Amino acid sequence: MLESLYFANPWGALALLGIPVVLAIHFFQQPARPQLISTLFLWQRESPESLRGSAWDRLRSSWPLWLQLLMVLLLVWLLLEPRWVQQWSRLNVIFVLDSSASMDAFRKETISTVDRLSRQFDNTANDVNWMLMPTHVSGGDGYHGEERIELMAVLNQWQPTEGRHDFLPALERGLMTQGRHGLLIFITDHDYVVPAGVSTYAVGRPLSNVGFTGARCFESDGTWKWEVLVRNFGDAEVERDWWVELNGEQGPVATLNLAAGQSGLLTGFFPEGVQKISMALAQDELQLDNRFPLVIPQQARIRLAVKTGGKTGQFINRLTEALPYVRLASTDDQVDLVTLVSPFGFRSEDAPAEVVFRSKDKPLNKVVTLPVLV
Amino acid sequence: MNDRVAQCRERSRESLSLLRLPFRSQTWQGGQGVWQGKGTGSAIDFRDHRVYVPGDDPRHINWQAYARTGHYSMKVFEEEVQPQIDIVLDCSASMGLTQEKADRTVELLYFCCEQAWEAGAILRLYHLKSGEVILQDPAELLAGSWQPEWQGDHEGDFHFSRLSFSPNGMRIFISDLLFEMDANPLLSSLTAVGGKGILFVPYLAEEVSPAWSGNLELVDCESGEKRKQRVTDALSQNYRRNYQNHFQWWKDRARQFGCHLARVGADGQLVTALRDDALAVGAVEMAV
Repeated sequence: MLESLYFANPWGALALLGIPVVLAIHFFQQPARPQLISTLFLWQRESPESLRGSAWDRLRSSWPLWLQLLMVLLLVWLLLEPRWVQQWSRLNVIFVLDSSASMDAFRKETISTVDRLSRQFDNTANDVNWMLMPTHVSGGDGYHGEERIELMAVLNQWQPTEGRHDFLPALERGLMTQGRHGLLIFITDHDYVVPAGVSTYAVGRPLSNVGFTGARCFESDGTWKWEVLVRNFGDAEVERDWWVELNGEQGPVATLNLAAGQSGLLTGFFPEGVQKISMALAQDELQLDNRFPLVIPQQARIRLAVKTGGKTGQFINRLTEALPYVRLASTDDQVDLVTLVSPFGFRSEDAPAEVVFRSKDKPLNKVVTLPVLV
Repeated sequence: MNDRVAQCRERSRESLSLLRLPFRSQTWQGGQGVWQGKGTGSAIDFRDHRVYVPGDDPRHINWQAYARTGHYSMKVFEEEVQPQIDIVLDCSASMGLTQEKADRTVELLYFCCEQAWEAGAILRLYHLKSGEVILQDPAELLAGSWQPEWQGDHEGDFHFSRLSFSPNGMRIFISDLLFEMDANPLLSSLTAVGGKGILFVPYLAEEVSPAWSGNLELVDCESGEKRKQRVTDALSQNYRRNYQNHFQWWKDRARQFGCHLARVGADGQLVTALRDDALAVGAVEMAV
């Protein structure tokens, strides 16, 4: 019986502090009030235990004392919320984690919340089935098993990077999975109305976040320049350091002052011979937008092989010549794109004409076939 | 006169119509007075004849009877005596612990004094203060100029034997008896030389059964001695038992010496309080 007992709220044991409080009250209760009497000698015939003594002598066994101690113990028992686990009990606990990039700022809170809740639920059933389910579309980085330690190990690897997305599909998947005696806990920093049966734990809080919001690279006077937009998303003015990293080396640190909600524009140019740089802001709680890589844009060049003869081939050749950055390949090894024509004509019942794309370093059987109407 | 004392005196007078000191039960002897004695005396009322004994006063020889019979015979007349009452008032602080107890004590004092004055008795009043017995002039009580002073304690023994109590008189001791001492010398003094000892013991209900409880600092009103005491129900019960034993012991001792010990509660009217115990033990008797 005791093996199956656990306390849902161990913090309730703090109420045991009521015991010394009760004892202290009984120690110090009722300071002796003077009482004028006719004579003392009739009292002095009583036992000396009633005389003034040490502090312990003042603590006397009395019904109020024992009743108050009993009340404290009863209160502790109630606050501990004792539970008995049935032998065949089973519980599905599903944690649905908001995969939004903003959750990166609250990763520690999320992990500690899951840790706390999982510890709390670990003893609530004989078999506890854990499930970790991020809300992003692929649903990866999840866990499904009975080991809480493994659950936490997977959670420690969790990295939210998604943009704005809908949480409902993940929550519906969780609701379908949780079963009759399951728990579905959604941990998010968004104000989101969840479906019935979902418990929400909010981990978000207002942050003083400054981050890169956009960039532009352009050529001017023969020099590649860059412009980066930085915004203060917080409610107060901030002063933030920023710098440029070139080949992993940090450049001079500059300081940027932004009022609440204000955006600032940083400009600069690529040094001679440098194709890529990285912008960096001093770290804040949301780290994802603190770095911004920049590269000088390069036009893509596609090598095309036209294996089509006749009028179609001529058409494709003329079309190819009209497209910039596309040139005809001479050999199959250097081909990025091959055009083929099905021998079955253009009718729907026949094989359609095809444009076959071929990855540069992949064998020809890795192709994507798209129907093209000419 | 102090209003409070005057009120006490008035209340004691009211009780005189119903109760009085036990004069009837006493064989009075002593000086010339207005009360008829049990012995022979020099009053003009003739009582009897008796045979002359050498040493008799020749003035009372019945010469007519001698002429007839040739034998000396004596005329015996009634004796008229004057009662003698000695009152010792305990003036310790405990007697004035509360106004009720102080009032009842004064009422008892006047109850006794008024009867003494009414009976034309020789009244001697003593105040007991801090173990010392001080002779007090009863005229101050009569004139209403007396002011009670409740102070001091019962240090030392009461040496009543040093007092010159009137022989064959009534000796009244008004005290709450809340002290530890050997009762025998006191009671012996009250009953010595034909004396009739009466003890009036005023008491408070809270002395009989204290209503207070908890952590107390008990302060002796006489000595000022303090005692930290947690008063529980059990302790109060023990105190009540000690209290009853104490007074039972006093009553037993008083009975042995032929004294009347009457406890007089401070609550209610004096007549009612006297009727409760004093009438039963013979400390007072009905006035009719």
